[in-house]
Amino acid sequence: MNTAKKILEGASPVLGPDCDAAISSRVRIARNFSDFPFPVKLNPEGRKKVIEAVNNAVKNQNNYEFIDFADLSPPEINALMEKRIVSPDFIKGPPEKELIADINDGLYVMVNEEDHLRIQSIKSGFAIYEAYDEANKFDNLADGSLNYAYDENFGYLTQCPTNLGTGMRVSVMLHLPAITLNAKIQNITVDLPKIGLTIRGFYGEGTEVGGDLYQISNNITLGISEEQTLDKIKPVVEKIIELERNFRNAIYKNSKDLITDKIKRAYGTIKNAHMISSGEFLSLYSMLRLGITYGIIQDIDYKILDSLLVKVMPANLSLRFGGEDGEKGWKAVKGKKSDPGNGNKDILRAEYIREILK
Amino acid sequence: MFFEFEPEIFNVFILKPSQGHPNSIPAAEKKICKMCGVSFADITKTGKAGCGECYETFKNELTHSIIRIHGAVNHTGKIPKNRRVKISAKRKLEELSFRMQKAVGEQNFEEAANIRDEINKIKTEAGEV
Ligand SMILES: [Zn+2]
Repeated sequence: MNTAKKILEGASPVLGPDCDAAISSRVRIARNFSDFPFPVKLNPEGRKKVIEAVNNAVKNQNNYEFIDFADLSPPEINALMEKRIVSPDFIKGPPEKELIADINDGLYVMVNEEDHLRIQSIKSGFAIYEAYDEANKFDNLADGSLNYAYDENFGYLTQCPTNLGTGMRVSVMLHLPAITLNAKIQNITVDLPKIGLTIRGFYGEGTEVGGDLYQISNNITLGISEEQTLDKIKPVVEKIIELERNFRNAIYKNSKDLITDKIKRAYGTIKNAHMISSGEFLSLYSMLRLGITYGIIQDIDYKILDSLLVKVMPANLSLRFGGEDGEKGWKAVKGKKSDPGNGNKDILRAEYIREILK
Repeated sequence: MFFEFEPEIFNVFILKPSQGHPNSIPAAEKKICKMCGVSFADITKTGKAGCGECYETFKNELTHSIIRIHGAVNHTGKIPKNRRVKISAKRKLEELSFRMQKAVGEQNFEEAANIRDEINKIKTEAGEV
């Protein structure tokens, strides 16, 4: 199995802290080297040199795997994007690019994205400090043999000025069905920017937030240290999680039969439906996850359910059903909404979900 | 406007070759950043700098926008290895001199003297900072 497949197959082995409401925590650190212009200003040879320099700096230090993007098929690349291991910008960019991965520790480094390095660390549950430590470790390694572009006032220099300073973006993905049901998300949305944080729907915006999944992240990186950033996010997320739990308890207390019925119907649908669109999947996902928290659903756990979020997306589906190269499935699913191929995709999705939840 | 991200970041306009980095893409006009060849107009147009040197070259022009984004222009976070000793000594000295002045203001001269000794010690250790 190639490394890309391993990344796509790999589910988080452990449940993270506060996994009833927190899906995952991510830290991303942007870095550039002072000896080279930023990737977009480099010619192919220059971008290759950056890759070479990074590889030399870290190759003997750890169990890193180096994935040259030239070796991956389009469905594999898109599947990695759906898993948010690589960004859309990274995919669109010129071919001289690389992904460095340490799958066990959830570390993924994009070389030659917008910046020379985008060090990303992903941990399950609410674990922002652990995620930072992991990314910081790689940062220290790369700092060893190449000089970073840095200014005493502006901090780490990045292509986009919004990332100056620490170059660090911390984000926590939260499942907030009860807050959403009580229409309290708006309050949070209004309050957070005042303290330099943002909350937004993970799938879609406004009233239609798919799966009741939200992402909280910092939007300021200059004039605040890494530790201060983490210390600022921590109590905010804790408070939101507490609020979510209180609302969940209230819902169960006040409308036990109603919510039990909704959850059991979702269970019946996901186990039996012949076709499931990605939008419907997200609604079912949210109900089932709540059902696990209440103990109403017992034969599905958070881990399996969360893994579906990525596995039933189009490119991942096509990889699953299209064999080694993903071509057959790819053709089946790449059709637009009105295409007959789309119905086929919904059938495959329902089939695959049943297979995984068996 | 740094908040407006342009999707087409690859608008590579190659006209006159510049005397930049051997691996840099030749820039469109006579440019100011010596390393990557972009002008301040390029940066405002795309919302992106071309290299680390751009921030030095256009420091004055960029400072205002950066304050608008972050509300600050003073990095207080991590420092790269090759600058760590010097910059952390400098940060420490700033903090100590602030504390020394406060001690003097409170007529706490013994503490002020202690802090002054500490300042001198750091200055000797770090060389001229
Ligand atoms: Zn430049």
